[in-house]
Amino acid sequence: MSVIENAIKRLQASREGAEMRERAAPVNTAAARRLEAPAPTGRVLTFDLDALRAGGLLPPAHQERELAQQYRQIKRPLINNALGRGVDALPEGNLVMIASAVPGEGKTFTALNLALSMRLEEDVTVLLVDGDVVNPRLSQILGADDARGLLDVLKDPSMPPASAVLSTDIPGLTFLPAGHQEPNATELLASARMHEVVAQLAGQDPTRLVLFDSAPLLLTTESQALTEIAGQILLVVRADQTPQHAVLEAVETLSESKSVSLVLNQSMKQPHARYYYRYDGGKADDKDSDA
Amino acid sequence: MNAALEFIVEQIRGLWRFRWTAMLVAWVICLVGWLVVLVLPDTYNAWTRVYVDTRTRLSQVTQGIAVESNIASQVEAVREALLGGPQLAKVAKSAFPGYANAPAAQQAAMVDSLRKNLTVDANGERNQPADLYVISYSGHDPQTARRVVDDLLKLFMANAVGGSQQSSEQAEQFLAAQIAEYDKKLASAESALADFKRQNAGLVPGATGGDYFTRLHAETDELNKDQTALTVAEQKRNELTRQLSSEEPVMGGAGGGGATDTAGMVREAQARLDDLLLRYTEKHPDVIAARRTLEDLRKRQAAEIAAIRRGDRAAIAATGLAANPVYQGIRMQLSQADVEVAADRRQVADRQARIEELRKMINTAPEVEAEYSRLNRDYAVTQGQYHALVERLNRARLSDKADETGVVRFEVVDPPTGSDRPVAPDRVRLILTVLLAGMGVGLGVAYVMHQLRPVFTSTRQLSELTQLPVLGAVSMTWLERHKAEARRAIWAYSSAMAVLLLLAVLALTVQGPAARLLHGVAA
Repeated sequence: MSVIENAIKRLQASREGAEMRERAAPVNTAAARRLEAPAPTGRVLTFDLDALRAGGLLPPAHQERELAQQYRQIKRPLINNALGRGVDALPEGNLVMIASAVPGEGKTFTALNLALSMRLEEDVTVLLVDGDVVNPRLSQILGADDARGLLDVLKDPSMPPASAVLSTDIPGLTFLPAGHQEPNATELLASARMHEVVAQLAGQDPTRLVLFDSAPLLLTTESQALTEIAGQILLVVRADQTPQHAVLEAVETLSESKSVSLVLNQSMKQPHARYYYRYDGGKADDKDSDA
Repeated sequence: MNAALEFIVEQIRGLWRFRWTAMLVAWVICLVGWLVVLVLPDTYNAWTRVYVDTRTRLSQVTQGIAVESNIASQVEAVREALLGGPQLAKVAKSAFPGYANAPAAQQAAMVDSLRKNLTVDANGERNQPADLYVISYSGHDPQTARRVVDDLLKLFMANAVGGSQQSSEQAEQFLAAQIAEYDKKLASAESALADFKRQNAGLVPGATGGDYFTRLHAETDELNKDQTALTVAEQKRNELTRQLSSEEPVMGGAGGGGATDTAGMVREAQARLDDLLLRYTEKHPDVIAARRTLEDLRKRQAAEIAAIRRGDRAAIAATGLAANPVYQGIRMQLSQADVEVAADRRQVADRQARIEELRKMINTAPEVEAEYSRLNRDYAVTQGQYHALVERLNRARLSDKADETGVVRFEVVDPPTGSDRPVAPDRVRLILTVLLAGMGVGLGVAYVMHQLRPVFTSTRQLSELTQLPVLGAVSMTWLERHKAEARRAIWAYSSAMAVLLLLAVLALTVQGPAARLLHGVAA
């Protein structure tokens, strides 16, 4: 009950926030102009790593190597599923939805870090989509909350999806913001236009991986719509916090035909990390190249 | 990692997850618990120790004489009686000022509370001769507690010592009174009997006599016997008289009758002379001498016979002439028979007089006799009772003496004492217990919460529960602000714990005055 109420409140708050931001946009024009200026297909997004780190979306410096290794391990099966390496390629396996049962489990963190890890792959490009249209935190933190995004593209059939995709200063990584708030976001995400947009964004190229950040499964209907699109669903579970029943409930909502996998976030148990701390230096890099 | 160890770590982390819940529970329990501990009324204890010596030194001596009471069962009975209703009601009456005016139900409740808070313990084996009795009472007021024990001790003594003593005293008094009464009764019965005897002297049967008819019959029998005896005696006298008349008083001549001395001598002298003459002539001196002797003897014999004829007894005796012995014997018998006849006659007369007298009393005698036997019976009964009572009194006194000399001896080892300081509640311990309980329950609640709201701790757990592939685990990221937050959280948590412990220390320090203050407020 309270969870739902909280979600509604948050929804309202974010809408008001969006309006506020729109009104306050002129103040922020400098940044906006900077992002927009050099883009042939739109703007080029600069990743301010320090700011991201401070905002908690990137691991702190001392944990970078540790987490990088962990994400390397996580991305491997996802990529294999998408590209059909060693296994049969999943249909639309390159469309990966990062989901969670309840808020605050680390979807955005996971999406961003996973995208950053994936784009290191030689033969893939990564499109990070802020599918959390209710609370587009990724867009906000990347400074693209006022840019046109997914919802705008969905709403306007005449608008080519690629026009909303933002380039970034990270090679191999592009970003599609959530776009401007729409009251009928669920319907838009579930619409045929969505399929069209996704098809256009991903193309027929399995090496173009699309990562959807999303809203909590148990609280919003928008993310349920997204699950229809995605070929693989990665459910983020926060260790020592997310109740088991919530996770199980979220798994229940997912279609059995989808490939669902889990990742335990914010785990206190770090058996491998210790290993890497001990064998510091080039080894981790070797592993990296191995991966 | 070892599975068991992993499990334990998981539980600990689960508890840690609900640490604030645990802390809250602990706080609530501690605060409420400490308040209750401080509000708990003080309990004071009072007690006394009594030594009950049940040595039976005199038992061998007094066995069979004194009635021996079973001491162990007696003391046990006292113990039971002490905790019974009436005793406690007595104690309650003196110990609780409001008891007398309280309604019955409340009185019962007071007695019940007394019984509940009262212990009478006999330590030592049941078959041991010596027993130490501890009477103790715990109440909320020291004076009351002491008074209760004091009263109980008095009751105990009165019941065990006085119980037998008092009862034996009462018995003695009763016996003494009875004896006095019977004494009077006996005296009056005696005097009545004596008077009666005096008034009816002669009618009252003697020690040997039977009743009237028996006596009359006996007298008549005796009369008959006496008359027969008289007749016999008279016939005997007549016969004797007849015999005497036909007998010579003196035996006559030499040839006659019995040989007297002189006649014998004459015959001897004649025979000797004849013998001498056969051998000697007439001239022989011996013959001459013998002839002379014979003549002398003949002269003497003649003189004697003449004397007897004259009837001179002295002469007869002097002459040696023997009287007729038959005659003499008959005469003696005759005089005897005369006496007998006279006596018998007298007796017959007496008897006849007596029988006459008895015949005269034929109407009154049986009544007198009946009255006499009644009086006698009364007297005997009274006397028997009197003797029995006297014997009993003596026995009771003997028993009493046996008791006094140590069959049962009571000694107050510790006189009733009470502590001015409360013996309970042990607030220090209770406060610590509450603290521990609070923490324990807090932990328990946290554990239950953890069990009710489980989370995922490991990827293994995750894959086991969801049956889905788990790609991996991402470590906890420690941002500076997270670290600061964690530090703050730890700090806050430690503070909460420290304050709780400080409160515990405070409660321990001020528990005495605080309790008094709270009671003062309540009062």
